[in-house]
Amino acid sequence: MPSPISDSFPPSARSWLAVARDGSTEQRRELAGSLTAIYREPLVRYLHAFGARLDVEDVVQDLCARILDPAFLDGWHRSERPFRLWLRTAARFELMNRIRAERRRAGAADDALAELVESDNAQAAFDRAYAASLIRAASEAAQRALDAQGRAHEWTLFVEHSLNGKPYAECAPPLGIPVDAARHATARVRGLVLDALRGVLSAEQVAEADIERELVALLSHLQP
Amino acid sequence: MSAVVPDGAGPDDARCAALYAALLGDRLPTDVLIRQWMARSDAAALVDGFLERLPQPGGLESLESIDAERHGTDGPVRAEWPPSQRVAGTVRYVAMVALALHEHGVWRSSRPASELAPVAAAMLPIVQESWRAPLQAVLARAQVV
Repeated sequence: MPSPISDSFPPSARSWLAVARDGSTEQRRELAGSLTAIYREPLVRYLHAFGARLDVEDVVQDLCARILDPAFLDGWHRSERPFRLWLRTAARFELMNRIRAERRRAGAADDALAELVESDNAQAAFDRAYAASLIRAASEAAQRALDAQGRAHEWTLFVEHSLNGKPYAECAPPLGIPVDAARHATARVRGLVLDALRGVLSAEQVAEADIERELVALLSHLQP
Repeated sequence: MSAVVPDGAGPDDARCAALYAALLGDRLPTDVLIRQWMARSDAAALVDGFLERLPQPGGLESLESIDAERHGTDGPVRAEWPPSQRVAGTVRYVAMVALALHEHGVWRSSRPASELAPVAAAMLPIVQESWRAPLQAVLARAQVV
């Protein structure tokens, strides 16, 4: 039986491929929406860092439109690279192709390759935006799951205690949660968010045993 | 459903960082934990609260009274403490090392300078003026060690 999260969030790379090949229109639409929500903004920030005088949002929009193309996903699967790196490369090549086309139209020399070396800034811009959009998407998935179970107040408890630092004795009773049960409730919320993250992280080739280390790495991308 | 992570630049990143930290809980490395807390919008008030009950720069305190081990939240910081207590303890500890170094020219710490310098660097932009020179002394010390 699927977990509540897997109904609303991409659970694994294998299931992405299955949905891409055989999923219903609705399933494909939902998965494409979930993946676009995670990867669109990081790709836009990444391409902006190249400083090309082109509409990078349009480049990313086109890429996101074929994010569930089975041939595109098959290519990624064969590459054995994390999905985000596959997408980044695809976005850079797409940008390069557009610059070449633009130059051909203008009759200029084709030196686009030399101009599109990936800088540290571009990678950092992508990593920062990816870390933010991933945790945002996972949080929203967890909230949807809690809402569906009629437990939305547990998310509020998690925020009040784990993010805002309030003791259970202060924040649990107003939410109708006994102090004795509060620790279990926040642990449940953490589990839901982690479940949501695991689906994407596993597609990004992060082993279960390395998830904690990966979370520290993602957090480090967000430090000022 | 309320949006817990608002759109926007800096504050959004800080909120997202706080979510990662909440998932990692007590297992977050101290230097990462400190930097995450220092990025919070209420960090200056928090750090002020931690520091105000300590001996102050320019207060002509004796070296004994600014012992870091004693002020690190009633003793040395422990890894198993909850995040808020680890932050408070570490901030107090580094502040007292900084004060001892600045006021008495003595390095009083059982921990290496390389471990304390990132904490001092994270505190530097948000502490009150009087604490800046002591913290810079820690950073200078870390550079020469």
